[in-house]
Amino acid sequence: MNLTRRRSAVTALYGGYAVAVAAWLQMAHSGAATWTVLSAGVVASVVGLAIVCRASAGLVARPSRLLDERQRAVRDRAFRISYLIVSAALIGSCLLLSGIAIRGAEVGHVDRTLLALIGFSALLLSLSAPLAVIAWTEPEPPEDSGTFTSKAR
Amino acid sequence: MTTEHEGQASPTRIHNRLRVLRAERGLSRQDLAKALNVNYQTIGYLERGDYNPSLELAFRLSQFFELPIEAIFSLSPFPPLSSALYRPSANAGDRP
Repeated sequence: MNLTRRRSAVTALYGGYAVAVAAWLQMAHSGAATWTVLSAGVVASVVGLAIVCRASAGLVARPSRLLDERQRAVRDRAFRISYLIVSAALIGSCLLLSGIAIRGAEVGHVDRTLLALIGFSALLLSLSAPLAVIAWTEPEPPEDSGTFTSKAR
Repeated sequence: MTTEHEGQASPTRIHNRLRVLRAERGLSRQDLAKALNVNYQTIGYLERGDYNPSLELAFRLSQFFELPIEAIFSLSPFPPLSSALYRPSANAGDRP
């Protein structure tokens, strides 16, 4: 799978998720009917996730003994980068929740929605980040099979 | 032999003659990958310089091709084989 397609899939995954979250929060706040936007975001996110999984799941899911040294290096690097991304997101979430708590939190359905959203986002991000890093950073694979017609050996 | 960024194009590019050596022996990437027990895409990335091999893989390549490591890998670009073969100093020995 080529680099442009993989990067488009990563953009669709997180872009679609951001759109879906924005629509969900808007619905929770004002009750305005934004089901179309929410559905579009969810669909884009799911399609993006499916493509990203297909492009890179082999490296993340397979046991080490089935990977060669390059694949292990790519996987380790992806986990290293995604650890930083997830940590940053976790710190951001803690700061957000602290900010809400300090302001004297309105306890209601919006806050429960926010908590559920943060939990789901943490799960999605921790599972998808290594895949997304691999899909985003891996160079284009070699185009041909590298077969030569004459067998000299 | 793997430098700063494992699995990625690194600042220190290590040049290699893998493609030429493979072509000389009429091997596909699959054949070479099978012999070295690596993924065939890894051979492609090695040939393109997108990945620098570990010392172990470099030795395995050296053993497979029965050549010293410096004949396969170099920090500076390799001259074309034709110019290496037909340079004046090489031809001088042929003269009577």
